[in-house]
Amino acid sequence: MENYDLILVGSGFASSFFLKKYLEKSPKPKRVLVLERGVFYPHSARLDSKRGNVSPKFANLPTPDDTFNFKNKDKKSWVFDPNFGGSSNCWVGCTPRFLPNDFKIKTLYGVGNDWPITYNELEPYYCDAEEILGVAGPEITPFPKSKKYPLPPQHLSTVDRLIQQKYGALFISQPTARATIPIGNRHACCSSCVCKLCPVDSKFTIENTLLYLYRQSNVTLKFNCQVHNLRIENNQVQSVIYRTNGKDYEARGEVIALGANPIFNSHILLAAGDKSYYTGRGLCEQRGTYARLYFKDLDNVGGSSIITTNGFMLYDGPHRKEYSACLIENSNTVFIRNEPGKWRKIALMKFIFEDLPNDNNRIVTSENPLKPTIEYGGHDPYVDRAMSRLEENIQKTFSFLPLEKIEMDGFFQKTEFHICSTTRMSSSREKGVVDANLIHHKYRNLFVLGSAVFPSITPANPTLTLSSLSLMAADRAF
Amino acid sequence: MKRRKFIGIVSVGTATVIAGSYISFSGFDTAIKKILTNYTKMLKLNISDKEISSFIIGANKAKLWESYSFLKKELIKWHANIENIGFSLPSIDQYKWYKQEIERQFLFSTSFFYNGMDTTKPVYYLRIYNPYNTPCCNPFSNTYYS
Repeated sequence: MENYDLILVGSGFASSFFLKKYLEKSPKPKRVLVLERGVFYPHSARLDSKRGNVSPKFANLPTPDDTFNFKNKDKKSWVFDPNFGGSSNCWVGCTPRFLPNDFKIKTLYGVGNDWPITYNELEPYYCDAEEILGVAGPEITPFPKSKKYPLPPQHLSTVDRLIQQKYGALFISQPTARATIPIGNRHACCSSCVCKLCPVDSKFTIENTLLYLYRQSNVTLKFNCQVHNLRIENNQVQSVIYRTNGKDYEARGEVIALGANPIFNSHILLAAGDKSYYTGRGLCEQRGTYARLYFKDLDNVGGSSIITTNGFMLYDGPHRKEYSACLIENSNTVFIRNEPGKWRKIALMKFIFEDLPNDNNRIVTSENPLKPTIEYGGHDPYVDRAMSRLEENIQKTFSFLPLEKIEMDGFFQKTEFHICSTTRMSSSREKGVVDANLIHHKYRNLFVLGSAVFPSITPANPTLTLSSLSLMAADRAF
Repeated sequence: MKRRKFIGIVSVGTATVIAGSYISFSGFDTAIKKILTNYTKMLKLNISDKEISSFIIGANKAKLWESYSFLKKELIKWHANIENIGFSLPSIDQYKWYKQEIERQFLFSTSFFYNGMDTTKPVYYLRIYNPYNTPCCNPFSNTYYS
């Protein structure tokens, strides 16, 4: 059996940021094994497929839905990319920080769970992660920052500027890993507005920025290797068990880090016999809905990128005792009104609500060792209460604009692409799965990374925070 | 049945069969042309027939309608040909939605939005709107409004 100093499961944000810090902090070269369940599907081949030239090599890759089963009928969509680089291949690149109050919502508002760390503890790692991601952002933000964003902010649209005049730091140019100027291997964003696969390779991906980590001589990266179990003795993880080409193999590691997504991390733990009450429980993500604001005499033009701004006007406050915080995104895609003369007198805004992790939404032990099973009954009524107040809140918030009418979608999007909270962090073993350093409460040589560790999820995009947590965990441990 | 009534029914029936055959056998491109000609007239756009034809050629080359099912194409064809003659066929709302989709695709493939939506300026067909073939093409972005 092969021996390694570190075995990493997955190659997405959580693993790659952990690996980066781990390699930086290792005084001498350590032997690292990275097991990736998917393949290396390069950006260039992905672009070719969008232009109608699908390479036979990538024609039959599994979709997320192929990778798990549902126990109940509610087949909610959970989206990710099960290949090298994980969801960096399909994310949109939105990187707002969480607010300081997000870390203590139980104490402040009596809902959800407090985090075992504070915003201030994570702040230096937010700065590091923003540097690695090449985040573009404004000078004034609703969250405290000790360093400026590395890249200049995106341009605001005509409508954004009016809203910012009114709300200042609560309505800002969206912090984003879509580069506003060329950086590294990335080009400047030019508002193609199809960010899930950027035509000019502007947004951060593991491939365009951190691929070099996996090319170091002491790092072995294996594809088509799905980890599905752990061998545990005396509360120490001895080895990981992975399947490739239909056959199981085992690799021994001093330290193991699970950096797959929250569905797979908990599936592996459950298969390994982890009996923590919270392992697999709390599966959730934010819920989002759109509204269109029609203007009498105001063109919405001149913004850059796919989403120009983030609004925090409905985010934090005493209302969180009753209903969800809501983050606003102002879209800059090529929508129009089909009315001559009023083409762009319209704004398309997305309203994203936080959900509360519910113990009954969970990953359960699966009969199929390679396919997790999901049991999901729906989001918390906390979200519905926010949704029912949304139209009124939009009226109040934007009444100063020359509004003609507001058109609400009235339904939730199928997914927000952010799977969270199945191995929550906590200060004690009784309340969660991992500690404040992302080490499993029981298996002390096992890290569990990613948004699975969020005790509460906030309405903000999770990638920056989960990447910062990976940096923090590796920095503190090695 | 009186002879006059009989002749009337036969005439209407024959006309319906002829019209139906015409619509069935007329190409999808003809329907698109009809939709876009009416639309550009309604908008009072300064555009020549040639630009609409170029868009249709470009759309076929880009296989733009390949994702449209047979039923969707038939629905568009029938409605486009019957439109404005005093009565409407079933599924009119769906047709309106499809029509808007085609109209939007057309406008984004022309110089209209890049000219600041100025209807007095001549409108030209540029290329089929597809950010993967022509990146940076959002006409409302800061690239076009500084």
